[in-house]
Amino acid sequence: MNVLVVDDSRTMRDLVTRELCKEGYDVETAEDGVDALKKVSGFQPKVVITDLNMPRMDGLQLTKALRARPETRYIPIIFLTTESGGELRQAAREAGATGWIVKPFDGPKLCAAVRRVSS
Amino acid sequence: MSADDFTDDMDEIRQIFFDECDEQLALLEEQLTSLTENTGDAEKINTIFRCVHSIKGGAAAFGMEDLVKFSHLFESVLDRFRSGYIPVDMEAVKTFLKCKDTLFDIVGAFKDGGQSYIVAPENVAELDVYLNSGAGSRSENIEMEDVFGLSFAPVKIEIDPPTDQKYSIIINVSSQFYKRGDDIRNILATLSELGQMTVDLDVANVPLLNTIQPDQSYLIWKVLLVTDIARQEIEEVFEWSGDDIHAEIILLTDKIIKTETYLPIFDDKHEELQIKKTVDRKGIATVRVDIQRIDKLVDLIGELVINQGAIQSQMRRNKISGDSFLGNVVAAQEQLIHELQENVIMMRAYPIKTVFQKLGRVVRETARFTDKQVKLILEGEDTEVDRSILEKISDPLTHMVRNAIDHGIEDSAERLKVGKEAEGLLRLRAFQRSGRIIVEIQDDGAGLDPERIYDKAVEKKIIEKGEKLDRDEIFSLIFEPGFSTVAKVTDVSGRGVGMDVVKKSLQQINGRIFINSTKGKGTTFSISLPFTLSVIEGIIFKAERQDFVIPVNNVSETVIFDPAKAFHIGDGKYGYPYRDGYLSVIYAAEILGYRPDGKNQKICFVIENENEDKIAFVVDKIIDHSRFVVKNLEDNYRKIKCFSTATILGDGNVAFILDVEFLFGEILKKESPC
Repeated sequence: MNVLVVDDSRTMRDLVTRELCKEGYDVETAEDGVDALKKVSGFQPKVVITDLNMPRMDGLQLTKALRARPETRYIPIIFLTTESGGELRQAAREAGATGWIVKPFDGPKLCAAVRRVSS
Repeated sequence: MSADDFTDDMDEIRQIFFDECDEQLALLEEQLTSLTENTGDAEKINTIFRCVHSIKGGAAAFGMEDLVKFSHLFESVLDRFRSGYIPVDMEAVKTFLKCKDTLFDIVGAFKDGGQSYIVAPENVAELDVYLNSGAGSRSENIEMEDVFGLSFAPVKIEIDPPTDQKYSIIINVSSQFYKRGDDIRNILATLSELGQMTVDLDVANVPLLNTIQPDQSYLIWKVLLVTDIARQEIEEVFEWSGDDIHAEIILLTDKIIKTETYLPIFDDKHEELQIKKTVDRKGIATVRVDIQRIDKLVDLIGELVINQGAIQSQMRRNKISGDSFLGNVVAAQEQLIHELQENVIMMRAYPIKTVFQKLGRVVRETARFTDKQVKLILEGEDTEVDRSILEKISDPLTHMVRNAIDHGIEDSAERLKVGKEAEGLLRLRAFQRSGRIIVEIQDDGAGLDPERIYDKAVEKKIIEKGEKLDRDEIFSLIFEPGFSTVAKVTDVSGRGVGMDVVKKSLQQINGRIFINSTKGKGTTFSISLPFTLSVIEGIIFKAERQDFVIPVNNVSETVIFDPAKAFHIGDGKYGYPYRDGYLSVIYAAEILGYRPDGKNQKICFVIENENEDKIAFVVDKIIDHSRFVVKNLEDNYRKIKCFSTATILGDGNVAFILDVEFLFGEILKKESPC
């Protein structure tokens, strides 16, 4: 199953990829929202995991953009971020995010979350 | 992949994290220094924030608590600037730079295998001041700090002994829930994993077909769950979806444990999120490649070059004309390989920025130590240099920058007295000139005092009193071992490393150093470096039936050698007429330990070094002109005085590459009075 991981930090991308690969997911990565939007149509992810704070296009803008496109309107989007503030969480929810995980993440939990939104 | 593979690549990711930290710190420094000239640029503050944020994120993943703590504190402060609670001023920028240095140190400590790092309390205190000043409440920050967990996963504390409990869960969802791409089936599936579950679907609220709103949710799920897990975990299942789901969890043997209110979100205005101004990062796509893979490529292309040489020498042997079909193809291929090689070598290139930015810190620290005011100007930071060179110039440059501030630039009082600005100027400049990289370190300080240097050299017995030396020769005395113009050793530059070490380490990478200085006006050190150490263009020549290579850069002219014109000038030295004067002669045979018989020597290379000194180097025969992949002799064999490197020729034979600097050394030795 295809999962798109969007994060401007390569460390994060690699860590998440590593956890997901362990569980047998096919992972593609993007470094920010702009990159992610470019990659979704080709890669057709079943789940998108995105960071909140990124250059060029942040997670919120990405979520809104994905929700605005017919082919990605219902794709589950999980935020993976160090932010835990209620307001941002609410903003993400309103933008159309499916889930919210606070970094540092726990591998099995992340995979469980992916499983949960994609079953 | 096996489990082992994953532990291995964890180390790799850790390495990636440190690489990324370096990049983020470099970007941080770049942004911070540019802030000094253009304060209050929101996008810059945002980038700075993101750098620190990234470091924090990675640090947390690797459990580097002290790094997380400090970057979090720094980030919180930056956030207040970002939100405009506190205006950015020079003081703040100074504090930020200090924090950047601290981050650098912490990252370094962890990189070196450390487990912890104690941040200087005054650094924390300085940040705390910002956290508490300006508009806006601090409560938000405190909350953030409390919520932010440092451990990998929350530690669960079981208070009740685990026994099976029966829960009734009534689930209502809003249409928003589906719009977010969620599915109630997922929630039910998760719940079912927690224990034994039965589900009833309540359709009582579903209206008649003609009044149904297709995007509304009318269904209610009634779940009966028998489980031994704590209710908190059941809540967590719903926590996820927040207000979009309403779940009433009732412990059947108890009373209502939790109810969450369902707030419909239909307020469209709420969705008007601020769109941030974004900056396109050059729009260049990049791919990261392991440096070892590129090195492997360089090696392979080197083999290709050797094979190409073999084909060409075979063609010559068989008298195949370069104009023939084969000749043209081979020539075209040679060009392609050449381009391939250049491109691959360019891949190894890094902008010199990485080294320059490190020097920014050296300048600040040295200025602080010596209590001087110094403004650093960087030019040509994007000049690209091969990685192998970059690694080797960092230390010499650091030393020279320290020297320039410690010995070159005067303190403010002194500067004002001689009519200069109180703030000294240090300019670092990098650029390309005729295939080499030039790095200049220029200060507007006191300049070198030739008389003082001369006296000092006499005192240190480097030269004899009364010896006649021109200005450049006097300046180059500072590169002599054991020379130091300052009597007392300072904290900063007098660490037992002299300019002689700087010169030696630059020579090791085929670099040269020059001084230009005017007393009272300042000093410029110019360093000339090769672009890469792995390929040279050279001429193959024969001497005593052996093949050698001389770097073409050093050959300014090639002339037919007429033994009759060479004249003995005493002490076993020979001169050879050249233009209006004559050149000192060195026979290739001679340095190989043969006695030149004056019959085979037919060709004379006029060799020039960076100082524009010339000598006549006499060889037997020129064989070819080509590009050579340099192999280090010391790595594979041992150090030989006149040949530092070697290459493999087309016929598979090894040829030594002549160390031109050594030849000039030989001449000097001959000319010295002993």
